[in-house]
Amino acid sequence: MNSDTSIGKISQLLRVILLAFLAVAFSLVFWTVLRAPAILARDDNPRRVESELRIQRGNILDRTGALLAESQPVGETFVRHYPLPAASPVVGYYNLRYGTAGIEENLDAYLRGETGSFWQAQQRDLLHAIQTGRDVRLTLDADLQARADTLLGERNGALLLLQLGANGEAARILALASHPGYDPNSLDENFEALSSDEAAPLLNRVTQGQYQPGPVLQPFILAAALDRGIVTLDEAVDHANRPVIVNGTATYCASSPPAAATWADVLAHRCPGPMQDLAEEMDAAALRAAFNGFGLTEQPELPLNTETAVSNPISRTDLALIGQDTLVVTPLQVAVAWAALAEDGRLPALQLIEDLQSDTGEWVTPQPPAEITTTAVHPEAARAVRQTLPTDNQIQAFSTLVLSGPDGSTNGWYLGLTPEQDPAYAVIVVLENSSALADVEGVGRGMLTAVRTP
Amino acid sequence: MRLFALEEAQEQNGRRQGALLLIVAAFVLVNAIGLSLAVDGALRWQHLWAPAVWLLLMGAAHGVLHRFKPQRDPFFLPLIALLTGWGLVLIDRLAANFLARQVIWLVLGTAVLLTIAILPRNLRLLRRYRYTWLTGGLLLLAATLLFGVNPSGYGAALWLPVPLIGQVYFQPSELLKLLLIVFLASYFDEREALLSTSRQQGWTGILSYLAPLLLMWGFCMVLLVWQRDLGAATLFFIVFLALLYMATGDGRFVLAGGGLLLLAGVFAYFAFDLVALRIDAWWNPWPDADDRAFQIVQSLYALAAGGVLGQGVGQGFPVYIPVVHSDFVFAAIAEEWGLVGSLGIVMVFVLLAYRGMRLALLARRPFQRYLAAGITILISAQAVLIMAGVTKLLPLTGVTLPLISYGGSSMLISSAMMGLLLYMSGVSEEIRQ
Repeated sequence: MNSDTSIGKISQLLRVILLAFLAVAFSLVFWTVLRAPAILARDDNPRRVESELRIQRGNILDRTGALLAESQPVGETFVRHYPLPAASPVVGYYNLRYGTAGIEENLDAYLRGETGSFWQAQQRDLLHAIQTGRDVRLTLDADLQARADTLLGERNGALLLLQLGANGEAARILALASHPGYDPNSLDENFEALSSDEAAPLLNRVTQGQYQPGPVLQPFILAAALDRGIVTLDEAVDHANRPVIVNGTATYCASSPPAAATWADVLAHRCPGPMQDLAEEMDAAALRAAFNGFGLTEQPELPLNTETAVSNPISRTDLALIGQDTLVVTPLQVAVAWAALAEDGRLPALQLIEDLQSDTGEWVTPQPPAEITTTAVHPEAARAVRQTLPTDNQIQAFSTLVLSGPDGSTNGWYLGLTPEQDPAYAVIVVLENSSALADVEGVGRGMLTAVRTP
Repeated sequence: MRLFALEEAQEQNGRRQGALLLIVAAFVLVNAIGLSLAVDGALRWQHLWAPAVWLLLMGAAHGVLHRFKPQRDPFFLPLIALLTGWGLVLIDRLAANFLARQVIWLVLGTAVLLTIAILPRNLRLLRRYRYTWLTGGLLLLAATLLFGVNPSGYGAALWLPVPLIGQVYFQPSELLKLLLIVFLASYFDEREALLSTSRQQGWTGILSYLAPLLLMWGFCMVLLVWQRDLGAATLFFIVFLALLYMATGDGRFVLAGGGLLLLAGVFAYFAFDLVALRIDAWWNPWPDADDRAFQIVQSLYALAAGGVLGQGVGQGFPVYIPVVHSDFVFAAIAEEWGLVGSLGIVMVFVLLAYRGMRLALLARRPFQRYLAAGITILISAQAVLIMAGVTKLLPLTGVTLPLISYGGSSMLISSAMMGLLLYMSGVSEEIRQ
């Protein structure tokens, strides 16, 4: 040996080398093509964060075009900025670490600009073009939203202001406030504290807060009773101010009714006692139908996360009639029921999106919410109840304290409409742990005054 | 007639090499311009000066080889040019602060390559003083035990500071790769006949196999134990086994050598944390993706992100991979040039292997045959080890991708090896003619 042997072995060694390179080639195909989708989808892949940071999300605007959320460029990336933190219950947040909420969550694909065709997306990926989202214009009014936030102040509670639609149009949400709230600009620093806070500042109390309704149900139950001919408003009522004991706590009328009171007085003075008399003629099924009719057992459709209220079967009709049974409601549900009374019994749809920007940059009005043909009560019944409500400076209101816990704590509720003849705006306010009706009335009236005199 | 035919063949060689270099130059310059546009949005000199220097160097190399080595293999220089040019674009992309230093190493490497390629009788010098070279290399390696440092401040101390020049380091194990191949080529050249007949001589004959085998294995173990240089130890042993197989044609000893390598691997797994970490990270990196297996997991993310066509130069995120410019440059190629680009690199090394082994086949003298095969096997094995490591086919061994990765010693020694191949290609072609 000999050279011939070594020459022969060179070919074999070359084959071994080529096989080794072939194995590398197969391994490349495996990772770059076959396994790539699974690998890229892993949460700890930093490229996901990098590509997220490079998306220029669309702006969120109020109805006048004022900025509520924008993406500000920082080098090659973008940072989300919220000029009006008070709008966070609606706008929500977009955060790489903590995800999304509110409109940022519900219109995420739209704001990210993922509405184009498959080929547009491929072209964008190939050219590394900046992914630009579409703008969204809300029905919200930045000034009114800021005002709502100011009116709630340091108190925990919820406020919803609606612009009622004419001719069957949807009711537009002008302001939606929830306290305590959070500043979406500083989530990175505060999220842990916010999520562990017992006051639940991340909870949207308007859409997710579940409250015992108490006397808040009174206008709706009475409207249903009127509608079914069970009572008339001028019908006399015995002992209107008699006490009702709930969990050992006696509740009375909010104000003193006349000695010879009628059902109109019961409503005007928010008396719980006579409501229980209706049990003889409104059984659980009828009561349930009334709640369903006013939309109190289901959540309205909104591009926000909403909580379906617990709607267990009615266990005691006498308690259900004074809102102390199984039914709990969100302020959003009460707002729809209240708007139904304002709109002569027609249950309105709610609108939060005013316009969406198209791929070509034009504003397009989205498909209006399917018209709800449900009528809670006949117009006469709705108008009769409205006319019974106390009126002051063109504002009609129903306010009450609701027993909300075994310790006797109460929540203040304010349901207001303006103007009185043909209501254009409705407001719902809840103040938690409030024992002074004047507080919640002040907030509600302040909001309605603000919307009437911008 | 024969003279005319020779001149024509030489001219054809020059034209072929020139045409291939033009294609390579176009590729490198397009990528350098692409990088500048992607990173700065405009043409910036900071991204173009290094490719310009590279272009001058390759142009000069083309001219020198055409003038002094007309019979050389016309494929080697374009392949070297592609690897080094692509490497410069990558270093600019991944670790721009090392670019100037790498360009200096490239200038030195090209000078070494040309010197070795055109100087006559350099093989005789290598062969005659093989023990001196090897001893010198081993002494330098041993010096790292006393004076070794790691320029990055952590990890194995495999470098020696170059005297009188601040912040410049040399890795003796790189030099030793070449010296060992020279030594082995010379050894097998002399012992070829003896080795081939030793099988008929009983235990004495077997010992003549086993003695160098065990000696080499022992040396690699020393390297592994003292220096934790898993990559160099593996490479030395692979080259040795391949050349032993070439010399003897006996596969059993190769199998035995493979067994010893495996044994060393098992020992190292239990003895050294670094080896255990690399093997664990190779076997299942996902549970430790944020910590000990971070590097390989980031490499796999880069491969996946590259897909078929890649993200485009300067537009991926390969810098998430720690020391991407050195050990993981192949992952960066896969991310930014995709499967197409990374398979292209594989093909370049396949071509290098093919041309190198062809050179060995054509060599008339055993020393040249062993030397050409040894160099080719070393470069191929090094490329396979790091590419397989980056793609999780094998555990990581921490070697560089020849002529591409950042690393002065590697660049210098790889250039010297390519210079030897070029030198021998000229010789063998002359002999063939």
